[in-house]
Amino acid sequence: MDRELARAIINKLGSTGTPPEFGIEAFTVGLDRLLQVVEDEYLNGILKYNLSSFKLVTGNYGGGKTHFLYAVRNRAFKHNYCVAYVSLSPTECPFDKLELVYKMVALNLTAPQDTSRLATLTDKGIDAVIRQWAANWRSKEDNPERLQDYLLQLPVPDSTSFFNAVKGAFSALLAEDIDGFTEAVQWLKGEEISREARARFKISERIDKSTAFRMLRSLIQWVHTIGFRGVVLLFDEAERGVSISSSRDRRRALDNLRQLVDECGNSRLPGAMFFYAVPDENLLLEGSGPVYEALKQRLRSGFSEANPVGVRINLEELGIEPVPFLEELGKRLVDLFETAYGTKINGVERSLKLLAETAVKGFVLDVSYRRLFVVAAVEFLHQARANPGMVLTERDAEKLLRVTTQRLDRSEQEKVEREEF
Amino acid sequence: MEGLIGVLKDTALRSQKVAKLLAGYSRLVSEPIRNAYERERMVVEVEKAIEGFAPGEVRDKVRQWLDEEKRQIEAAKEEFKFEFGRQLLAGLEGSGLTVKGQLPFLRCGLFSVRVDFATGRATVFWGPEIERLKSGVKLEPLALAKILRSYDESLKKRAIKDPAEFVERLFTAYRRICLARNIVEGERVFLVDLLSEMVFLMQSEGFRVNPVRERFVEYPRIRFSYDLYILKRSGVRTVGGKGLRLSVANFDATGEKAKSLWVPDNEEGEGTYYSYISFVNG
Repeated sequence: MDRELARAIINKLGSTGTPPEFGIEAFTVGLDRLLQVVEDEYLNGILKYNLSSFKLVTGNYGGGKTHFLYAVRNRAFKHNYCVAYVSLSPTECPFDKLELVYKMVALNLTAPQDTSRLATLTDKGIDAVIRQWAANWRSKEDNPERLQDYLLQLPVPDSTSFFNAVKGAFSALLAEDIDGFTEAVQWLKGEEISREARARFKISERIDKSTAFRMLRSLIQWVHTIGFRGVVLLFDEAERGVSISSSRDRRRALDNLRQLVDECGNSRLPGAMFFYAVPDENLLLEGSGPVYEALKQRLRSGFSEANPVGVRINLEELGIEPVPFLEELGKRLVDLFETAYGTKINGVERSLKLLAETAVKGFVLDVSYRRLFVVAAVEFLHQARANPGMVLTERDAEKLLRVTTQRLDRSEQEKVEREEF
Repeated sequence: MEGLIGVLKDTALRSQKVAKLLAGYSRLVSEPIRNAYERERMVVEVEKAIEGFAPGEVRDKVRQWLDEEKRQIEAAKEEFKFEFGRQLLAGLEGSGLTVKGQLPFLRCGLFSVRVDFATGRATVFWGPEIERLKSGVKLEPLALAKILRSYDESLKKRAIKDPAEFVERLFTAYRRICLARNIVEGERVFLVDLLSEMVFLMQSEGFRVNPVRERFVEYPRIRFSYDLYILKRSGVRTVGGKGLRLSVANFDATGEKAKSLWVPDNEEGEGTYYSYISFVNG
């Protein structure tokens, strides 16, 4: 691995414990079996036949949901899927407001790319996908007059307005009409555009709550027709609570989710796969408010090698005990750290094992012991680099983990306060 | 002169109160971490009590002491938080209650606990926050474990032993409702309506003759819910050629206690809301 990338990963892991968007394979532990089933059964399996699927990913806060979703994304890229990773949040993107969800999907849609390098801003968004579509077409077709024939042959998705907008953006880009491209993309990203622009591109609809689901379907159908195998949508309820607050919002969100699950059974979502990750399924499917039993029953079956059609992927049950899991993770972190700083860190195995045992024993019901371990381990490796031969005692390990918990708690609190403000 | 006496008496009274509080406080300091929240409450009381003191040396000294104590209490609360999970797990060891989740919300078998570290209190629920069993519980992990154990043991001890007999009772109650409401057997009735009928059937002859509180045999919905779970688990479904059916509740009904009842699906606290019960042919 490239030294700069390794350094960026170590920096991200050491500061927040959340996975970076790139290079995660270097420290993936225990997910291979699940990922292989996703790949064999879905990405390289039924999705090829224009089918679709929905999976619910559950795991504690800091238990590896985002990591899992990024790993799915990387495998999806290998099989030529576009991917959108959407972090759901009560303010910016709650699941009860599908129009906002659509916007975030359009903003984060990404064509297949190399995930072993640092990503750039231009890699993301429906505009980037259109650019790639245009580049691909240009590389295959040297006669621009065939453009109309090509566009005529494209199947029209559920929303004609959506089709006209992507077609308009594509044509404008090929004609080097930057203003036209920007206006069409603006609408595709859910922003307002002028009446003249709407008239120019023959756009008669707005992207609002009544059309959002159709737009999402149209986006999936369009991606499928322009040379990609399909779309993988990764919804991540990344925060401790879910993005839904009131009972009315909850009902709407659950209705949206049910509609999504049910739509996966028909052919209107060709090659689409949805992952919805929640920190506690209880918040979504049970708890003090009303409960959607019909949805709960649809999402109940467990996904595994033995049952690949199951819906629920439980990251708390990876088939590997917590301490060996963390020990393995520790080894990967040492490799990464050595690459990042071009140095050998010797004799840290016992200390990392102790750190793993202490994290599991003492912090299993607190902030996720996995995230806690990662942040503390990186800090320890920095210390060991500065003081070669350094060994942790049980007391040191506990102290390090406690300080790390407080730091993570504080930064989470600050994040919540920022959002509330 | 009289005014001065009054001021001195008042000061003496206030001083006595503060001294008493401080004496109580010193007992709490013997276990500083365990009593962190109690200490915090007492510090607030001392703070209130010295408000009436005239500015001066005594007031300043107490204030200084309070500031230092508050710092120590914060540290003790942090320590308490670290120890809480470990001690709760230790307290539940051997109980058969599996603990899942992350603080502040934990699922303990068929129960759940919401912990509030800011106030030092916890709430115990039946199922995943389905019914509030006890709120304002002092945040003492071993005591909390004891409460959970006792709820669990009591539930299991009083649960039905003979599912066939229970399904018969359900059927009797169901038929009585059908008869009273003039509805055809096979129609669905609310489970909660059936619960009232079940309670009535459980009463002794003594209660019927003289329905006083002392003779009343209670049957809370949690026990009913647990008994239905035992019944589901047993596989006993029929009585007199009729099969028992439980109908899953819709979204709105799950929010109304009169229209739905949560019944566990397993010992790990997963469950389903049901609205209706019926007995149908076959």
